Amino acid sequence: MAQLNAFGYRPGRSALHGLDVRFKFGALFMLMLTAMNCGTLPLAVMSLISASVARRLGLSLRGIFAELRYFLLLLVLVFAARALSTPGAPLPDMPWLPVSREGMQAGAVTVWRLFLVVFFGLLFVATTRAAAIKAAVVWFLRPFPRLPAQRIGTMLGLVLRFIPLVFLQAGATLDAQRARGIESRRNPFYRLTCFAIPFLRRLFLSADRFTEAMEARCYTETRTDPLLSARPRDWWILGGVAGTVGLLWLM
Amino acid sequence: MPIIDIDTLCFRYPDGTLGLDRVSLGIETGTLVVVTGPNGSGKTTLLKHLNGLLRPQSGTVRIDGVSVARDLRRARRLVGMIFQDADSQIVGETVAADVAFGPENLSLTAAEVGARVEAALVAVGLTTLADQPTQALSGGEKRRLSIAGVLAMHPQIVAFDEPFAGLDYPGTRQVLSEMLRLQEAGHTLVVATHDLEKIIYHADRLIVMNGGRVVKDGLPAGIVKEIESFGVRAPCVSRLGLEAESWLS
Repeated sequence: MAQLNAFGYRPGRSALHGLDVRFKFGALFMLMLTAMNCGTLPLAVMSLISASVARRLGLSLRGIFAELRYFLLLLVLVFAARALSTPGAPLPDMPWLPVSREGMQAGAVTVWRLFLVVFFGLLFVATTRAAAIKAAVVWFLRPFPRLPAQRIGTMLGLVLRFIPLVFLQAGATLDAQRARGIESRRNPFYRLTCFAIPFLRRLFLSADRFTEAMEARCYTETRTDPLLSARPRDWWILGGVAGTVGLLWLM
Repeated sequence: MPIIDIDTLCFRYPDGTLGLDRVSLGIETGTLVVVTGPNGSGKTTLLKHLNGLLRPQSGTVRIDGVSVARDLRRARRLVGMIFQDADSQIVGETVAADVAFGPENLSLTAAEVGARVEAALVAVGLTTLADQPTQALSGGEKRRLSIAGVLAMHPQIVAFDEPFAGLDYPGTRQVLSEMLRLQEAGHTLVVATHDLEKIIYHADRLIVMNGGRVVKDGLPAGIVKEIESFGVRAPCVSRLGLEAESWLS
């Protein structure tokens, strides 16, 4: 039995699950925009709210951090870059360190914002079926006749469907290598090479089998998509998010 | 007229490996046919030609009188395929969503899709798991889900590729009873396996493949005695000189 990971859809009956996907897209857009532009107090409010939503959805924060570890590594680099490149007063306790107090503050806020944006995306994916996302993308692109809406929606839906499978494959490959003592090798390049070759081979094979299985079941871009229907509740929730975002901008 | 009519089918993989060599077969409606042979003998390659996942270099495959190459969509609707690796066959996030995948591809109305999903889940006994994430299912449940996904497309033929691989005893029994239920309902079953033990008792016909060719074809009781000369282990009961027995009894 495979473990569920944080990057896949998690079935449920929460308000987020029930929200029309187009409204969910709208709310996500507003929240991401706010996260990228607001100060620390609104960031703290949004972090608290999103953490409690994740807990209610049954997502383990520890599990999310564990699965985002490589992204966290990237955030460390972003933090270091900001801390080193922003001019300002040196740290009083560590004047020898070539970073500024302002740089560290700016770096921390940037990292917080980026993490929150990814976290919002994760909540979105955890509560939205790939087929619904595809249907919404097609709906949003319908006014643009030159864009192949069905194809773009299909590609996005497939990518989202594949992400959890990629993590499962990576986990299985890592386990197999740990079982054969890879952790005793210190050379990161050697470890990366040992991991990448079987992982990519396995991934491409899975992709081939997945494609075959879809073809065998008559996969087509013009398939029956989930029905999108806006209810008053969806408008209320979107209004609530817009109001909250408005308040956060005023903070 | 046989529901599956294969005429001098030849197929070679891009790397030059011979997949099928002048295979000719006719399979009657409602029969349970077991195709066996060692690894690389062409069993899976043959199954993949039934619904056009592979196209022949020469020869033809006709399903209910119509060439697969002429109407691929029809062939894929009529021939349901259960793959060896159930995980790679499951494309939906939940059990119900996965079963709905096929009917949605047939562009049926949402109401018709819902009705087919419900009927297929009832047929394989997975109704209570309809809203469960597919990753959380056991091996036997995943195999039953694959069957439900195919049943929802209302096929006439169901092709199984190594249906018992990786299954424990209860899982094997569940899948086997589903297969027999399908046959009772009038479906034609083509089962590719080298594990004869579990299915031979129920087979109407046994086809042995080797090197991409059909080397034996007939009643299981007659062929099974000499099966080991083709690289397939004979069922235990046959080795002991006993009568074959169902795994469901």
